[in-house]
Amino acid sequence: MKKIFYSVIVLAVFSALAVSAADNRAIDENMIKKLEADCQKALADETVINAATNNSLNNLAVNRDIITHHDKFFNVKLKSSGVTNQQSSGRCWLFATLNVFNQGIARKLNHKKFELSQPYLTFWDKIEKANMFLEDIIKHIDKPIDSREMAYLLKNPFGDGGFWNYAVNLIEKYGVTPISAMPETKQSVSTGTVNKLANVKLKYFASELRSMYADGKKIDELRKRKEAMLLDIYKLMVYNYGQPPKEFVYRYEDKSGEDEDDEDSENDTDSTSTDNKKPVKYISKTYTPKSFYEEFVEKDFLEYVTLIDYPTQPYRQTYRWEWGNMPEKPHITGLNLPISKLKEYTLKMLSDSLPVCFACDVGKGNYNDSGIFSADIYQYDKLFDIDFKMSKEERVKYRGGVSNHMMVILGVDTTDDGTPVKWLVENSWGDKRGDKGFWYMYDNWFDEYVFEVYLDKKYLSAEDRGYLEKEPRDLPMWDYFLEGLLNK
Amino acid sequence: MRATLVLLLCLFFILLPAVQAADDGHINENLIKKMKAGYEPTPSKEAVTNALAANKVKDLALNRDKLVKRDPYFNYKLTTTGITNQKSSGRCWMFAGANILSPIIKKKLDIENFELSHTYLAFWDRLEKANLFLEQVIEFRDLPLTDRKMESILSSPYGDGGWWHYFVGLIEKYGLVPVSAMPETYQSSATGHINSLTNTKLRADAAELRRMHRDGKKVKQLRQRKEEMIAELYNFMALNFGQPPDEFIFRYETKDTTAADSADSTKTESKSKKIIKTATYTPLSFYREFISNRLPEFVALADNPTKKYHKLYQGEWSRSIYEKPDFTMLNLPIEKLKDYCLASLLDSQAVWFACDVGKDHNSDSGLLAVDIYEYDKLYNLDFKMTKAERLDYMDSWTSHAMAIVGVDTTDSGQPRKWLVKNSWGTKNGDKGYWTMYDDWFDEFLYVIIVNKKYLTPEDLAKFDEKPVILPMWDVFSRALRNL
Repeated sequence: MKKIFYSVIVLAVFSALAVSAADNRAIDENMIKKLEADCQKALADETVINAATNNSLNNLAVNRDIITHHDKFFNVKLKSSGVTNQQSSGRCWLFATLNVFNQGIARKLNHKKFELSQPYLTFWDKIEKANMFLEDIIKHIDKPIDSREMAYLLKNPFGDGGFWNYAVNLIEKYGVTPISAMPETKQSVSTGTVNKLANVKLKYFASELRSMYADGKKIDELRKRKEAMLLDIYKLMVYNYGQPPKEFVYRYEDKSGEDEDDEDSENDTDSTSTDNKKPVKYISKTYTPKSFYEEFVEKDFLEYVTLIDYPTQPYRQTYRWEWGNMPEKPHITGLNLPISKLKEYTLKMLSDSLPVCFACDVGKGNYNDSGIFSADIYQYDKLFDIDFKMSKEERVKYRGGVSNHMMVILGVDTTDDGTPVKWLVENSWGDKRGDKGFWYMYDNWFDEYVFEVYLDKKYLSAEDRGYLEKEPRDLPMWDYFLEGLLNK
Repeated sequence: MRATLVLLLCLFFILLPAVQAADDGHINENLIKKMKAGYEPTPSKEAVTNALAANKVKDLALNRDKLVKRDPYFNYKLTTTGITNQKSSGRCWMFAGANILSPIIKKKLDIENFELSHTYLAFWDRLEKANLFLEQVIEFRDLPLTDRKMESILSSPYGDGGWWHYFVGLIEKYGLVPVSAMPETYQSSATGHINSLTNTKLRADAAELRRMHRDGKKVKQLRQRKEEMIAELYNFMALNFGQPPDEFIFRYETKDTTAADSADSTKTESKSKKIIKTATYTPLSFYREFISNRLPEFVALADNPTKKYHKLYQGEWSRSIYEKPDFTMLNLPIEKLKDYCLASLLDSQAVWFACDVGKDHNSDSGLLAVDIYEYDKLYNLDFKMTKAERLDYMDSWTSHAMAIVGVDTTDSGQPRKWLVKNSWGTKNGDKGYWTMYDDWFDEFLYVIIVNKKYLTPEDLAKFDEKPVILPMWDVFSRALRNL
């Protein structure tokens, strides 16, 4: 009897402790004791502690099963026009977009490799971004300095980030040049310092415009002052990138009469094959960036649209964000469709031999050494016996990752019934990373971490095309979905 | 007459597009022409472009004059402990805090060097921050996720950054241990990976707590679930850092002062004679024995020219430990901060401070000097902003914490430069030390922590006033996590 009495008391004391702990918002002594006791049970395997305290976690968590079952075959595979390298800059969107264009031009010239100048377009991208920023400052000139709008505008206004449409706008307005006409410089491949300096300058300009306005100056006067400010930004860009060419001579090998190279002859170098036949014929012509664009770029990209998988917003609806790179162009928009639709249309493009530009969260499930993107390449849950799972919807809702990188899909490997197993991806991180610059994207990674694809609207079903015609729904400039690609 | 008309017409057409250009806000053909005309290539400009095409901007903009003119002398210099290294982590605030406390322990024990365990404090710091985050999620359970408050907390549920009072709070609650009792691990020295895993976990937890709330669960039930979440994180951290010790044996070598006093005959021997002492401590008993109640005596003084001086400010949710008060600081002109810094140094007390280390900073020689890089001369462009403009336009805020351990003054006592002890190892700066020029102090130093005994009664009284509350996205509240 007495025993029972004691144990009841003990139980009561214990549960009182537990209750008080549950009521407590802070980490108190009871909770710490509990934590330690609970952990002692879990820490039976000391080898895990030793491993985790001494090694990189990716090495410990890698799922060897995926690596050993991995193969490199694709039943649809387009030719790359050469792996490019964005180096220490955030220009992925421009590289990915231009890689699509490069392929078109290479095909037209019947060349294996072709590269458009990224610094030429970056030059104008930065001028346009500076203008757009100052225009936005003028647009929001009545907002207080600590408003949410100002906080967003002031976040990295001269950043490297962008979208497919930013690139398209630039190409249409300024044309293109081959890389030889405007090569990379130290500052264009490593943009940190110049970005910092230009950000200082632009923020100073913003403060100047705002104090002009406070002094009663008209918008017209602010705009005039803005023009003078842009001259400074232009100067800064010329110092760092050199002047963009007004015209240039482009000389290239004439291969128009020759047969297209097939896969088998890839090992023969161009020189040996021409040695045996006839002398190499070169074509040389003077172009402006605009005339080069007119002659070499197929204009079907003007029909391209942005499809997004934004799982926290209703599907079958177009969205518009308060961001753009030119005041005369519409803001960024995207048609929201389930990921299965994005895949379906990507497949159609590929089977028509068209590469597909896409945006994703590259920070997850990336096995850099072999170039594998797989949703379960790292088993952190097994390593730590903790569940780290979040659905795609939750990840977007809770700011756990959206698009921060753009690349190009060049191929697909399907089962016999046409279900995709993995996708071939061309990256812009040079040929030393991944599998010589290429990645294998497993289908589950496409589901989880791909958020945008850019493709010709003629591949869309009539129903989906119909949604494009409807008025888009406006989202605020601080909407999280765009944050990563904008480099905010 | 006709000529004038034609001329007028011409003028009209020339002016028309110009007017248009000013109106539509686009970069149009005219503006492009103007920009191109505004840049006249000269041989010297082309040389600059060539240099920039092949070199780092900083190498070209370096002001060699400032580099050459520096001297290594300081007329007041405190004795310190060895240089530490935070490696690839954002724990500067903790390392700077340790650089204030370690000399006290070193002196008390009369030992060569003392280093406390940052891993031990970081372990508890991570649990406290996780708890605070989950409490915020519970507190704001009815706010939409797009609310600015939710955006603020979700953008970085856990971050390495911190503040002097985080450091004080941790030590008061959990005590401290020497580095030998809980050494650095691969994960504590390179925190990027476990931070992103922690953030994934905490975001998933936040989603779950909000789901529970939506399903009608009570706050009490959310808190119970929260405890389980913290327990999971404890296990996770124990795997990465090892478990924090409940008690530890501390052995140290010290001079045998008693032997030196009593045995005069063996004078020469006793000089070098050392003895080894051994004692068992808990983290809290170690703290009580060596630091005791010194910590609450320190207060924070800030220079934020966008806000009113001589006022007390408090950042909303600027604490890291749930039950502690939010952080308050007194806003004072920079001269006052210097006065108190000097008073503290002359009294042999090092000063914890927070600054924007990203500006005008030369790591090779350990220099913090305004205009050490002359970008304006390189580009013929003005990059100047005032301290207030930099804060308002989010160009600068506290990004690093270090300790001031010396000063070089003119004969009249005016500070010329300050000696700064960093936590980036001995390979950076001047063997781990930096020289901070007085003009840099003016421009890029924002907060110091000093003992309140140096404050004038007037300034001290301000700490009893009701503080002005700053929202959590204010530069000064946010900066706490950025360190």
